[in-house]
Amino acid sequence: MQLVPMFLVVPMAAAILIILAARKVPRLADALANLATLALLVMAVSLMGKDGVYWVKGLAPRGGTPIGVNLVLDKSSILMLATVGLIAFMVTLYSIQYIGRRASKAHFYSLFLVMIAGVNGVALTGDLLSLYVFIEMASLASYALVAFGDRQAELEASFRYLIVGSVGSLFVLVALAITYSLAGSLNMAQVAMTFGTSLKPIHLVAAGLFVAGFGLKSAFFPFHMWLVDASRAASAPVAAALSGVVIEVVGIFAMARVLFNAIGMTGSLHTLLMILGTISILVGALMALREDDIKRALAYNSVSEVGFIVLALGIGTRPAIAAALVYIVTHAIYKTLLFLNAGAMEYATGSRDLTKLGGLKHRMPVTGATSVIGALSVSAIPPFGGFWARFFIIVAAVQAERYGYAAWAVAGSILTLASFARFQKRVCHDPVGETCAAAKEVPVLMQVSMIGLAVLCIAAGLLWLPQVQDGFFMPAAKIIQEGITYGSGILGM
Amino acid sequence: MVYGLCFGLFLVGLYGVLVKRSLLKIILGLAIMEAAAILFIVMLGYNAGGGGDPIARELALVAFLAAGAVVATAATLARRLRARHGSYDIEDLNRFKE
Repeated sequence: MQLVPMFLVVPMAAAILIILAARKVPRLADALANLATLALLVMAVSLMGKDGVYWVKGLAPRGGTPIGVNLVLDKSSILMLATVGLIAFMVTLYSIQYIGRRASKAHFYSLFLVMIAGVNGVALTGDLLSLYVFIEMASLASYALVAFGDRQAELEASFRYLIVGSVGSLFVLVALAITYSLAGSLNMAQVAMTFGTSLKPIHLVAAGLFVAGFGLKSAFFPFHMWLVDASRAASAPVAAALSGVVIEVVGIFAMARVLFNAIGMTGSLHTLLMILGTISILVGALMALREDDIKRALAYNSVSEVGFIVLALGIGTRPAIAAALVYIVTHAIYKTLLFLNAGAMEYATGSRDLTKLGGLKHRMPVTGATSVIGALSVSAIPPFGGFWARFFIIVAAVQAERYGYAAWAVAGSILTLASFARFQKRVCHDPVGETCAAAKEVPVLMQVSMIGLAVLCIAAGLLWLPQVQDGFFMPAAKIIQEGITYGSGILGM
Repeated sequence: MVYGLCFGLFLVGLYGVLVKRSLLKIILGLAIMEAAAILFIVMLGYNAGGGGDPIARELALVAFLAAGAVVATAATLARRLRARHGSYDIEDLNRFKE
């Protein structure tokens, strides 16, 4: 278990090292950042299937009462760590040549790694106070990353994101203050033990504030506009990391952890999540349908995808939660791929306007082909990973006898398919557009990153295999679904 | 009663964030909300008795540091925006989009 804090130490150390040593040497910064993210990926893969609780400074609980801060490695947090490591590595690989012609690379990598450290911390922590600290750490770094190009659109999007994000953090802060006053502890396990299964209205106030706070962070309806602005203005790697990692771990996974494992779910919370999720699915899909700016369309699509995950959490049966986790993993892969594709298109043609692009499969074969795979995956065409993720959610909804929600989820899927069919036709198959006439394929490392993600999109089609489901996703879902029994496990361990 | 005042202060800040056009006033609104949240935590700790609760104190301190970092970042962004654009008015920014 001594490896667990390394998920925070490695990116932070690399961030500091880059800013101190590699400021003037971009190659060194590239190497350090990629090594750090690769190390995160390797560590996460090597720890797959292991469990354990790490008590900072060895302060283990005495007589069942926690006295220190803990990091919890279990089957659900390791899935998040692996996803974060994978996406972070692909994004840093892509950034080597993408960021090159823009502002200082060392600053970019350093902020990026601080953000990744924060996200890893959110996935691992078992303590509400450190959860808040990690959320703020990831958020502050991502505000700065959105503003990175220092042009007006980026600064403005970053300002909006900062205001919305900070209000979200404040809701979380107030909610955890209320939780503390009720439970007398900020350790999630202890909170779970104290609250038990009967929730009073005041507990629900805290839960509602948590939903609002994490809702602002994860950009589901009605809290989604900042993501659209930020994704449009930010550079492609940052937009990819926002949609692929930040909203999912800092928003949704943290929400699932707090609501299911610390506070405990009740019927009204399930209904609230299902309703918010369904509205989010439909609003995101409809808005994506009429959007011409690729990055904005992708961001609206993220809103819709987040809706699916929240809907699945709201259904709350074990297959539904497993489906939500499958969805988080596959969504991270294909949405990152699509944002990197959009970045490549912008890199080569200077445009992200669907009406001006066209014929990319002739001019940029790699970008064209990988974007087809990404779009097939996001539109839930079998046998890609995206299909299984969505199929599992709809099946889980039917099994739980939530037929209405299942029907809305199917409608949302069809709308998503329509918007990506339009995207594919415009970008790849139409005659070569004016802006693409002189387009050349992007540099090789950007291609490698996109191809890697495309291969993973195809490989994610294997996630339905019973071995994978039973080995990784069902145990992870069990931890979240069993809710507050999480507490006794941690304190007894 | 005191909690009601905290809540009122929070709403004053929220009003500033939602309604005001000047970037600086929005930042002030955010700072007021943060102050209200921290005050709430301090009151909780105070009412716990025994000369204050150590964990509530820790929580208030952490929140205070985070609030400082957020306001500083926001102020930097606002200054940069004014340098690009010559105004702190958010409506002006919208008008000259693209």
